[in-house]
Amino acid sequence: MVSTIWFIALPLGLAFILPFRGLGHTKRDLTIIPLVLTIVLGGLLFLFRLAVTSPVLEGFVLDPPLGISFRMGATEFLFLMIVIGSAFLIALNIYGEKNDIFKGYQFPLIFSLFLTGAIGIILTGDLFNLFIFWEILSIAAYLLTTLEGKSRSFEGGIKYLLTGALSSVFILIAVSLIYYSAGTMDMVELGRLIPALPSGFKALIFLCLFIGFAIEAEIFPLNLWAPDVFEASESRAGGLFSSIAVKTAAFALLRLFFVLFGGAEIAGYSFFTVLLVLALATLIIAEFAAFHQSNLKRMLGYSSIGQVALALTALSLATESALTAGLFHLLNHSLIKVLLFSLAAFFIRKAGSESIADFKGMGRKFPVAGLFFTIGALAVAGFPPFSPFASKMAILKALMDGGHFIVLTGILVATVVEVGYYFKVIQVLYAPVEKTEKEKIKPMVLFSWFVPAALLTGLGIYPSVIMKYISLAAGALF
Amino acid sequence: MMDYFNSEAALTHLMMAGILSLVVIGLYGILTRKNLIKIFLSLGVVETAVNILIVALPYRKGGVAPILTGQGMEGFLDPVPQALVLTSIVIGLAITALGLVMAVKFYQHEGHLNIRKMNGLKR
Repeated sequence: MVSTIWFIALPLGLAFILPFRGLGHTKRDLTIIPLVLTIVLGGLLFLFRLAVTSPVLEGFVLDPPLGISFRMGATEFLFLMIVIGSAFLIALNIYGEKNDIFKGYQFPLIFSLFLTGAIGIILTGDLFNLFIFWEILSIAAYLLTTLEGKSRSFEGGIKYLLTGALSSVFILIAVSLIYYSAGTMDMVELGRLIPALPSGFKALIFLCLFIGFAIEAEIFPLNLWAPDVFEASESRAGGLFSSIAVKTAAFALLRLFFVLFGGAEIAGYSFFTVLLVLALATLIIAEFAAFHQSNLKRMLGYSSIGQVALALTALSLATESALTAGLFHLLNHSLIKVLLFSLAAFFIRKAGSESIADFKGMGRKFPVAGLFFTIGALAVAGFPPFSPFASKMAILKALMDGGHFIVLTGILVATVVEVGYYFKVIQVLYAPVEKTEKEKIKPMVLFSWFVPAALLTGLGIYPSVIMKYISLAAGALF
Repeated sequence: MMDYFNSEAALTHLMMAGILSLVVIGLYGILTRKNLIKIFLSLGVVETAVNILIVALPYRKGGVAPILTGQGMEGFLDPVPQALVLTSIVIGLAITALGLVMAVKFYQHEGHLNIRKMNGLKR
């Protein structure tokens, strides 16, 4: 029986089984489990491919709006594709090149909880359910941060946990106020009821939910935790945050703006303007901060903040073409960060250091890895023929159509800065160095680099392959 | 004046003032304390305030707990917030426990719990 509940039941059930004796209490290498899990989830997603054109709505025990329901339409399908795809690539990379911290049962357990939370946030149609999945995702993320077990990992974990706990307090306040005033938790039903509420109350609810989601979506000024967490965690855990956790937070923001508060205004100010201003500020601050970083993981973290803010800038315009561009950019950014963070893991392991200055000549010693990093860096900076070029151009065009020329200038400045710091890294990677003997790269790892790089190039040359689905996903939000 | 203290509005205002002051006390603690344990305690205070908000907001005067005792369902309160608050209490417990474990681990590495001196990561 094919049901959307399996997307939750499989990873959650796995997380319950893993700690049992015989499986858990050994030092056995269990890194194949996340890989198999993501492949199974990918197969499950394939069974639901028709949801793109005919949305699936499943109620459990009671039908919505009274009971909890799972919805899967084009938007949900796109985000599930991003989440499961990135999870697969990172699981593949970890399986190919594992540190000791990924062996044993802890990592597969945390990984499956992380996926449960991310998929649950996307599928659920119930606001309190969303809060619970939000907590599952956050707790798994705190644990991923501390996986290395060094003192700085715990420092990052504690900072993450404190901000995350505050974010959940705000979401919970909003949830209780919403239930008190509307008497339901079903988000589609709430979308009908909320516009009728008094505007002060509406603003309070909106503010609480926005603060809660924006902390995880790394929007300025609520993103102070993010660079620390990216620096504290293993690179590929950082890849999971950047390509999955932040994307789910962006999805939650989309739910907030389009489903709960569809175009609602308070005293003449549109909520979208608030998002536009904050996202632009985030983009510019993050890109300038990234320029001064000497730690590769921290630099990629700042770059991740900036790119998601760029996508949110597009989403805040709330026109169909801008939304299509923004969603396309989110997809591209996931591919880029999967590629760059797994390459960062490789370089950091080879150089024994995280400082960019210590990667001198790594691109000459490991030409394949150097080539892939160059592809990723050129792609993130928006060079043709890679797909972020197409999505950035679409965002700029949407801004031009909307007459937002100041925002446009801001984005162009940020892009110039971005080109600057990625070229700095490439320059270090290809600095002249004595030839040493070349090391073979495992085929599994090579494959996990090749897939995102090939997709970035392929989608850049033929964006029409995916644009049809993305515009369906954008259209489904209205 | 006495009418006010007897009214339902007084109860609501008192509750709101109580919740708001708990939130403020908790946030003050999170922002000003140096010791990680005290910060997690303050977090607990904020979470308690929110839990009170969830159950106290839908309360009506004269309402009874929604438990079937064979005497009909008259005066029953909405059971949903009470189910929600159980979930949120459990989540709060999990977060606090995880935070304290991390604090212990951090202490084993560094020998202090001072959040002002947590600067192993670059600022």
